This record gives sequence, structure tokens and C-alpha cells, in this order.
Amino acid sequence: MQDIIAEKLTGFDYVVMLFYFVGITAAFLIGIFKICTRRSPMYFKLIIYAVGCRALEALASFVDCICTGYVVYFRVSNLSLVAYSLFIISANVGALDKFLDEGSSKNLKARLLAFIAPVALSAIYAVFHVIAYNDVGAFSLLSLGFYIEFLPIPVGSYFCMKQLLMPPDSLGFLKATRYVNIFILVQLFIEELSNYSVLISGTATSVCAVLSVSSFFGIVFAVIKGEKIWKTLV
Amino acid sequence: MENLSLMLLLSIIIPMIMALFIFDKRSKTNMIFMMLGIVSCFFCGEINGLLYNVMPLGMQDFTVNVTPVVEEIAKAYPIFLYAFLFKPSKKKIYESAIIIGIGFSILENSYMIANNSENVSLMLALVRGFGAGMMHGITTFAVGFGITFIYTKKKLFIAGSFAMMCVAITYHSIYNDLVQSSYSMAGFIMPVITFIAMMVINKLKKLEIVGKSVSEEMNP
Repeated sequence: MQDIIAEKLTGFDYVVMLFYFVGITAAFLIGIFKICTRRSPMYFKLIIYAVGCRALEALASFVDCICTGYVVYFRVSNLSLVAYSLFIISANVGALDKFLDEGSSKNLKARLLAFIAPVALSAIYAVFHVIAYNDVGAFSLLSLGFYIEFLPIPVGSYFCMKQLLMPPDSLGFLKATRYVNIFILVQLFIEELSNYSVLISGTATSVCAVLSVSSFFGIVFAVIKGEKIWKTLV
Repeated sequence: MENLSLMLLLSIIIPMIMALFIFDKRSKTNMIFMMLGIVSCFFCGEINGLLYNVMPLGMQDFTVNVTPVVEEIAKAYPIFLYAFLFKPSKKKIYESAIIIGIGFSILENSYMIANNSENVSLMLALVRGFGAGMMHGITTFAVGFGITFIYTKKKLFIAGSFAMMCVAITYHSIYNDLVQSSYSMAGFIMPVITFIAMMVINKLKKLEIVGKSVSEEMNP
């Protein structure tokens, strides 16, 4: 059972983790200096804070590994993954959704089709755990991780997908947030698929880390571009 | 030395209570928050002690995974109450949050130094002051900052309260992990770097706002 809770690391793993942390932190710092140091819409600030949460989580993972020498699948710093999803949900629901979807039937199709994203993410997550841990005991042990780490992610993906599928709004807010939502969805899928890379090889893990960091840069650049479009609207 | 934390609590807090009768309203509020931080630290010490005896975790795992949760919740509680009962300005929430964190670290540092009086040095005092002192201030500020999201929109309550609490817990957990390892100096430097970054961002924000208002005046 100990193998499920903790895994020994090689030198290459440390390099990948350091790259992952430095990459996301760089993306976060660009976002902070471009968006949060001036008067910007709350939506974009919340997305940058979400990226910051991932940077913090990457730092926590790296620190945990250099201090203990192994990776633990659940620890309290995983709460920053919850914070990441909550910021995305709040950006979409708290700061934007009320303007765009007042509950009319014209958005019904988008509301229903948006379930594709959470269902697909959940399927990827479930299949990985069945393949990787083909053991009922192991699966139940990971259920805590499921509730804390994974559950907010499909909720966040639902709102991103919904806003992508909705017909263009009269004010043009959806145009400003389109690329942000695309990159968030891409990032969430890369993150879930990168679980499989552990089963393949170290090279696959590093490729996933590069893709993941690129998607975070994509989110930040989409936020900077979206903010400029938003300011022309308001 | 059995009730060291209680003795320290009383010796620190009694002069503060007496000072309350002299201070004006603003200073009184700040002093009350400082006292709340100190009292939170005392309660956290007791709760952590109880949990440590019950939970099957080693000291390292306990301080990394359990202590941050207990301490951040205890520190955030007075700010939540203050924000929802009195609805103060954003600036007042930030100030009170930092003061609670500093109050918390006063008792914690006093206890650490008094408890290790044989191995104490000036270096330890500096390290505790800059490291733990700033760390508690920063994490409580993060929670206070999150609470102010509700001022922008009520629906941002979850992001403001719970998400920022998660961020504070993670930060605290990283600090505790580092200071107990062989990279302890990195742990003590981390809050200082964060503090400097916060100051730079604040300065840039002020410059941007001032610049904007000047350009608006010039081009109405």
C-alpha cells in the first residue's frame, strides 16, 4: 500500500518538476505585472490568481520532493488545486455568467452540450485510476484525493465550455473571454492526460510538463489580449 | 515550565489590556486585533497539541499537513467576523489582517525562544522575526485580501474566502516543510521575498492609479 501513497523520484523528475514550477511562476508573474498592477476587470484578475494557485502548488510539490525524496499523492498543499478551480468557477460564474446567461431558452443547447467537458475529464480521470491502480483498496484510498483534487475541476470546465458554445452576446464579452476559456480547457485536459505519462516514460512526463506550462502561458497571454478587447467594449 | 504558553500569554496580554484604557479609537482597534492574534496563537497551540496526540502522524507530517489548517482557520476567524459584522473599508481589513498575523507570531516566537532558551542566539531571533513573523502576516493578509472580493461582487464570496484560505494554508505548509528540512534558510527567505514582491506590486498599482488620474485631469 505504501507504493500507492508515495513514489521514489529520480534526478530527471526533479528537473521536470523545477521546470514546471519555474514555467508556471513566470507565466503568473507576467500576468500579475500586466493585469493586477492596474485597474482591470475582476474576471481577468481572478484567472491570473488561478494561475498563481497552480504556481504555488507546483512549488509545494517541488519542495515536498526535495525535502522528503518522494512524491506523496495527497497532502494539504493540494488545496491550492481546489483554489485554482474555485477561482475559475468564480471568474465565470461570479464575475460573468449573470450577464451572459439570464436563464433563457436560447442558451439551453449550450447549457446541455457543455456537459461534454466535465464528462470527458471525469472519464479520463476514472480510466487512469482503474488502469494505474487495478486494486479496489487503492481506489478507495484515492477517493479523498478525488473529492479534494478532482471534483472542482469538472465544475470549472463546465462553465468554460458553456461560454464557448453560447451564441455571441450583444456586448461582446464572450469575444474577449473566448481564448481564455479555450486555453483553460486545453490546460485541464493536458493535466488529466499527463497522469498517463507516468505509466509510459520519463520523456512523456517531460513532454506533458512542457505542454502544460505552454498552456499556462496561453492562458496568461489570452487574458492580456482579452483585457484589451474588454476595455474597448466598456 | 509546564504552562509556558499560558504564562507568556498573560505576561504579554495584560499590559495590552491596560493600554486599551489610554488609546484612542483607531489605536484601540489595532491593539484589539493584536491581542486577538496572540489569543489565536495560544488556542492553536492547545488544539495542535490535542490533535498531535490523536493523529497517527510524525512531527514533520503533522506540521506540514495539520498545523497550517488549524492556524489559518484560527487566524481568519476574527477577520471574518470583523468584515461581516462591521463592514469596514478594504484598507482596514488589510491592516487588521496583518496585525492579527503579527500578533500571532509574537506569541509563537516568544514561546519558541523561551522553550529553547539553552540554544537561543541572535541569529535565531532574526530568523524567527523575518521568517515566521512575516509568514504569518502574509498568510493572514491573503485571507483578508480574499474577503474584500465580496466588496466587488457578493458571488465572489467563495473565491474570496475559501480559495484564499487554501492559498494561505498551502503557503504555510511550504514554509513549515522548508524550515524543518536542510533547506531551512530558503524557508526563512521565502516570506521576505514574498513581502518585497507585494511591496513592488503595491507601488506599481499606486503609480498606475496616480498616473491614470493625472492623465484624466489633463485629458478629461
